[in-house]
Amino acid sequence: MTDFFYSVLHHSFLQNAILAGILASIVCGITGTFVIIKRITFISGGIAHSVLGGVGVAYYLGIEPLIGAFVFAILSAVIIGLIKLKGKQHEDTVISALWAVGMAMGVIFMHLTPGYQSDLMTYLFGNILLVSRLDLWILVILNLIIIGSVILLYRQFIAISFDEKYARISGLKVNFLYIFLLILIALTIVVLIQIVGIILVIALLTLPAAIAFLFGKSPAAMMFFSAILGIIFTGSGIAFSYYHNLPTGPTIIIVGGIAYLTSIILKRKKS
Amino acid sequence: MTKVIELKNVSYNYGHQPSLKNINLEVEENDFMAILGPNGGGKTTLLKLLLGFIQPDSGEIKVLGTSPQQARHNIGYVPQYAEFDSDFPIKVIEVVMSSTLTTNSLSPKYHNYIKKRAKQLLNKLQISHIAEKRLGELSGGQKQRTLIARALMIDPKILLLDEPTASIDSSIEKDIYDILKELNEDTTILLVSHDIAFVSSYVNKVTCLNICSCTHFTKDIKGETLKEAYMGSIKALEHGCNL
Repeated sequence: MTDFFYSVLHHSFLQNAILAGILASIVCGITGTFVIIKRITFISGGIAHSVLGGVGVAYYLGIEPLIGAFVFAILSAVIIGLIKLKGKQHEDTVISALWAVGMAMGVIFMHLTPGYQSDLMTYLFGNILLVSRLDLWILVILNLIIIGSVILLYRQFIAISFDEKYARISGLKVNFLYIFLLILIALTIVVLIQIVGIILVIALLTLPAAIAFLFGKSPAAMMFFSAILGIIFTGSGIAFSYYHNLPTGPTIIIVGGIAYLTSIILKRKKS
Repeated sequence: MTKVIELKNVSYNYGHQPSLKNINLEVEENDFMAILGPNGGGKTTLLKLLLGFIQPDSGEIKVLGTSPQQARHNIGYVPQYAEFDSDFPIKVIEVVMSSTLTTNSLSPKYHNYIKKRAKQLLNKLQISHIAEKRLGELSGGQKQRTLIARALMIDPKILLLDEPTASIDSSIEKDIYDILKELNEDTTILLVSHDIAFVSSYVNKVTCLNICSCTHFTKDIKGETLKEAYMGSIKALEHGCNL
């Protein structure tokens, strides 16, 4: 363990990775809590996978892939939100379609753009060790946006998660709040994709919050605990993968998965 | 007596299937009315219409002299507690306070006067000792009281309850109705139920609803007659409705 700390002190890429893990865990704990209590894991999965379409199009057009990712994530959040609220189509069917079509677009556009084939793997599985200074600044800004929004609208988000019908009766702008919450989740997903990639992002978003859900007394407590858990998972995942020369993203997820399984067993023993 | 709820010839169809047909209903101030009827008789549809979630295909609905949507802030709605996710991490007092929220109250905390009011209501409903408990830890009766307290937070003119004693122990049923009777002193109460035996000793009017409707004063009907009608045959409840 000591030589891992030694390496962190001497390698800026490891410092960036750890910092990115901390920053991502905070946003992840906040929005992941809503994903769990509002039971919208599938919606989040749809948003995450559609992001590849945005990345592909951005590569093809020669613009920053992150911009494409943000645009597609927000677009699919709004589309899914409207479909859920209007209720005219089967929500799960539309999400599956967005999920698959987004990925298909991503693969096709990347194929059409010469020389970027290897980046496909980075987007699918992420690489926290490649996080740059700029990525870190983007993470800081996103943290500010998400923490700020959730502080201001905490009670409203809880109200629509707990009892949407009653929230509507008591005069809350449920449609606006719901779509805004989905956009915050979409922003978090884009950030997390940098770290663990599209395929694994849902696990990082939901595992810490799912563990916190087993023991947390309030959504705020869940947010706090899942942020701490996220930091532990990313930190120990980075260290373990560094030692054993394993891919970092999947290692982080395995650590989270084991922790989740353990906490379910502990919870069952307790009750 | 002022009419607080008025339905004139209201019909609503799900596809080609009529859910409600030519409903006429009047609820006067300080009424305690039960709407009784079998499942599929249109009770839920009627509630949705009264809350303005759906619009009638024909006919007119007035709540407190205006449209249901505009009257919402004066209606205390109490849903069935079984609809909730019992694992949701929310405290009783927070559930109660949540009905005072508006979209632009931008702060993570409630004002002290709201907290005080919520505590008063919990006291009134005799559940102040569970204010800090998670909703999932409560018994059915306690959950129902919590939802009634939430509805009362806005000082509603009308209390609208959806099967308030469904899935509640029959010994607790009486407590809930006693509370409602007390609240009825200054609030109009309209509740939907399929449980007939109990309700008739508390309410002053009963509306039978099975696609079409018919209102009775409780003092004019004997509990037994009503019970027989309900248990005996659904036809008897239709009051000559030609469906």
